Amino acid sequence: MTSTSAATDRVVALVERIQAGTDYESSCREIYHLFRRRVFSFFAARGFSSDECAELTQQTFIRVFLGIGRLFSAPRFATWLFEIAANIYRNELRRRGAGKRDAFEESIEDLVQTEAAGRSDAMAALRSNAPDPLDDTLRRERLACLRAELDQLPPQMRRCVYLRLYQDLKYREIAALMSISIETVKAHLYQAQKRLKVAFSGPPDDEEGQGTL
Amino acid sequence: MNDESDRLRESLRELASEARRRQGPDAHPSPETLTAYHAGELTLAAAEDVREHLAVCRHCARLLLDLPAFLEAPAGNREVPEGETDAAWQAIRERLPGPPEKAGRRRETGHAAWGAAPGTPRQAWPRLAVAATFAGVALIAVPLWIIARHLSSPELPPATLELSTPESQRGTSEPLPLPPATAHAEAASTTLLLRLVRPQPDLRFRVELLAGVAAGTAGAPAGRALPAPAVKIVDSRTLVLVLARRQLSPGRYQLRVLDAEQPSAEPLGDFQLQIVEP
Repeated sequence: MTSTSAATDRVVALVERIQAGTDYESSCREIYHLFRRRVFSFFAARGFSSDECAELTQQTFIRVFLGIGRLFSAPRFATWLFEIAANIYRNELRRRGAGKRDAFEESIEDLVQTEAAGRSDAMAALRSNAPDPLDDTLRRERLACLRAELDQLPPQMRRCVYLRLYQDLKYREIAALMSISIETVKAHLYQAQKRLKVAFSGPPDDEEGQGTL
Repeated sequence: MNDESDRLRESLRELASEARRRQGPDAHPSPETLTAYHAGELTLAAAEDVREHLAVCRHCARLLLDLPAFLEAPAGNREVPEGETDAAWQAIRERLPGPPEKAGRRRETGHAAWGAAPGTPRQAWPRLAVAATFAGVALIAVPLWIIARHLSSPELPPATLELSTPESQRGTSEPLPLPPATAHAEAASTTLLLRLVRPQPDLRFRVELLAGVAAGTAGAPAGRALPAPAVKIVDSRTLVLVLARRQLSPGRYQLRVLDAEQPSAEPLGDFQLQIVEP
């Protein structure tokens, strides 16, 4: 028996013991110590501070032990733990989002009134954010052109472009997410690059030697 | 050339953000859906929906990329550290109610529920007697209740319904009010054959189920979205959906089949369904 399968069997045995109420405390404790690092790392990778990670990890395990009686498949424990951690992460983001919405916001009308009262810096700030009309028109035209070309791409090719350029993912990561091979990802990106560059700035002078996205 | 490449990248980023905004702020697949996608357990159409979302959502893409490492078997070192780490465990322990109900153990609140200290006598017999009495009553009452329920609403044989959007409704600006297809809640199963108005050659469908679509019907508030039912694709314009007995409570429902690639376009099929008590 390999060490991996032995570890998995150990987790299954612990979960079953917790569900049966046998050695409940020691089994819970062992499960906690087996998985706490990866749950902590899960939150740390998402930008939470050390204290926040500790608190969110605690919340995760409390929810795990409260709900473990409803887990039907002990071998699925790690997946279930991940789902709980991910739900807690999303709830935390929502909670923070709601907090931000409650924060003070300064309206444009207020700024204009302030300017009328003699504070010229408010309108200057507004003006400085306004895009140049010509640049804005050109940008909109480019976007419209590119949007039309993107809509013509096969869905999988379009997604590869987004994952590469919007999310800056590596080829192997794109392949893993889309359940396709790395070679397919490269081929999609090469084809997409040729088509999008033509749409964006006209036919290339030299098609040979162009790098991929 | 570099400036041009940068502008292209910048524009593509803007379009991706735009696509993400179009999906709505709460349009993330649930973690359960993401793990099912990772395990290859989703239907073709559902998996395509997830891929479409992943392309423009950094949060969900990162969750899915982190999943394989999370699922790896834990390291063999099971030594329970002392000190600070164990203090964290103690904090969790304080907030746990004790062994799950399923195990038949007492469920109490707080630390004391984890069991009395060794040697402490327990006054368990009175509680056991009460529990045994309840168990005895339940043993007799539950089967009687089930039998009575079956006698009052016997299971009906499986039924098949063919649903289609009639010609008069297709492409007209004022759809006609149509009587819904009627299914019995007590049927052992109800097979719904959905004939679409137009085909979707790539077989990418999205099915939406809305409860209580007509005023004055029983059940949920008007237009409440329910979890999408699993469908089987027969061909580019035919889907099959099987409802189990009592899967839907009596009331009126709307089934909408959309093109998963263009969910905002006109539905491929729009069906009314009424579930009734026999």
